[in-house]
Amino acid sequence: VTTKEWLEGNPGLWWCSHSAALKLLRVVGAGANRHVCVVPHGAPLMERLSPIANCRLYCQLGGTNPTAPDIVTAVRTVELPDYLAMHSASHLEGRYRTQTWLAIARLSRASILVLVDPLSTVSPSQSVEFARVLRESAAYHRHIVIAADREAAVSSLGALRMPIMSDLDP
Amino acid sequence: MIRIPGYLTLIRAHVLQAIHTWWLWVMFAVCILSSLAAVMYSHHGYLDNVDRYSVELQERLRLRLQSTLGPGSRQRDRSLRVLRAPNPAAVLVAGVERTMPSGWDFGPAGAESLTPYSPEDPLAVFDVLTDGESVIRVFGGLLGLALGFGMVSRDQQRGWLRAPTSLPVPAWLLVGAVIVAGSAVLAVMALVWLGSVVTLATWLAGPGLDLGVAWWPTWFFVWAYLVTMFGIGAAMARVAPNLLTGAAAAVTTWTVLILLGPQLLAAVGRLTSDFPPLARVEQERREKYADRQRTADRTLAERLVSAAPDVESTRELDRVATAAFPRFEPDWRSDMSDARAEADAMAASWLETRRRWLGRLRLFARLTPGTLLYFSLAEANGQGWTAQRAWEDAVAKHEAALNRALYDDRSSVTLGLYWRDQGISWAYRWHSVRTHAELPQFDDTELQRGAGRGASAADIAAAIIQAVLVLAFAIGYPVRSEI
Repeated sequence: VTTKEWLEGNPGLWWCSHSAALKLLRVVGAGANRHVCVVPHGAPLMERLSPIANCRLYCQLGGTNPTAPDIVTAVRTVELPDYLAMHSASHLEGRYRTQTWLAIARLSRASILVLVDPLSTVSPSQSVEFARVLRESAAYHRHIVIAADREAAVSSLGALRMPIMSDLDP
Repeated sequence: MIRIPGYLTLIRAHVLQAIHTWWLWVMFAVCILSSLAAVMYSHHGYLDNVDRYSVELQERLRLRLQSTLGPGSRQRDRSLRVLRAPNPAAVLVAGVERTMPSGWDFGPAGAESLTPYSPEDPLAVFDVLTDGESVIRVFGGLLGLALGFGMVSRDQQRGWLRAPTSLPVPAWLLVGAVIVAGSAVLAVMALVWLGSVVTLATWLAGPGLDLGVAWWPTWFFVWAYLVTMFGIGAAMARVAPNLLTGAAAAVTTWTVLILLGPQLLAAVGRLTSDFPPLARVEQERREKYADRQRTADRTLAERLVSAAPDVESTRELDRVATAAFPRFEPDWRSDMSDARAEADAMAASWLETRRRWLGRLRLFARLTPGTLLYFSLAEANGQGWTAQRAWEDAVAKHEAALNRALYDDRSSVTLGLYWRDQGISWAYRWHSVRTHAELPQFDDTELQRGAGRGASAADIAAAIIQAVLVLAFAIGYPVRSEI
């Protein structure tokens, strides 16, 4: 069974190591593939732009042009507070940065969402809330893959370990 | 398909981030303040040079007024001196101002160069950044490098430039956006720098004095230089495995290119120069011509004496020699003409060798951004080797005219003879001594107006090629396989 075939039949919230995630991205194609969205470590954003402007920028770069209501809806769906959505992204805490990326992924209709160490920037007190938002997003995207090298780092998110298929195995 | 508005938004966001970077403005402020300080310092040197020029002008005028008979000496004559006015544009780029002669004297053996303008300043030991160009080359280069390194490494730290790229566009387009944004910021900085330097220099120079700054070529070369350094910084950020290594590599590269590069060029230039200094050549030429002249005069005297073997008195010798002189004059003139040709060939050979050497150095100078900036700005603002060549050609032309009018057509010849164990002097006069008004005048109108000023196409091409090569490398360098 190849990775692609396995992914076809197994939607959900998964986790794997960084190296496996990198190989996965090579297999499914990333970058120019709009159906794959990668959230880098720290969920970086353009600091001078608001989360809404970041969403618009990302979508425009990808060739889509969502309307303002679509963006606001996406941002609210991932539970980013309105008072944060309109201001500079430099004030955002780690959790809200990742949630902005979830909105971006939703707007770009990504079927595979890869998050690199999402909990590294989320404080322990916010991790329960964040895990809930992430699980809710899993219902929208076909696959959410969390890249982390330690199981303890993702145990609170309820993600299952993704099996390594032969085409990912070195 | 990438939407242009999205890409423009990305560029705009990069520009906003760049202009909200505090250290960039600190560096730019240091660059501007250093440039202004260098211009003020250089302006003091210019005023000293103007003083020296005025004194020389007065001295020449005094000599001309006192010399009622006109220049007829067989030595160099200071009343014939050609003076080069100091160039006020040297505050922007010193160029050849400190190496080109401040004037030329003329004598029978040809032109002789005066010492260049140089400030007699006890603090000259600290002369490192003495004009606007040197400041922008050193500080501006560092600023461009730091900006390029900072902007690209920030994107790398964000994770946008790691493989696979997080944004749905190829990595080269992401780096391209950074480069377009950085180039736009640097274009404005180059314009602000140039505007502030020229404004201060114009204000210091006073009303009515045209600095002759070539605005757009100067701006273009400064901008291309900053963009090249920006590209080098960006390339270092792309290549280095981590931030610290990249920063160290960028600073090392700046040191090699900006500080060591020109020194290496100078060292190679000195090692490969196969001609003596100008002063020595002029002295040799002067001595050789004087020897030839003395020999020709002595030969003429011997011939005249041999033409009058039977005379008894000096009065009779004078009569016979005067009558015989036209017979020997062609040979004497031929000897003098040979001496002139030899002296001219000596000077021309030296000049040609030196120009070939300078041409080779110019080729090497286009290889590094710092030396290219120096030479291109100097050429664009009339302070380069082309301007020096224009002066040398004009002086050579004037020298030839003076030789024809004054030295090759002498008013008289005076010979010292030994005849029957007694020394006598015999003179033959063709015409009266020419006054200064009858001599060709040196016209420096075109030179003062900026002959030899202009951006060289080769410099423009070299600046573009350098910038494009480093930017292409920064853009095309493959992304690292990590997330």
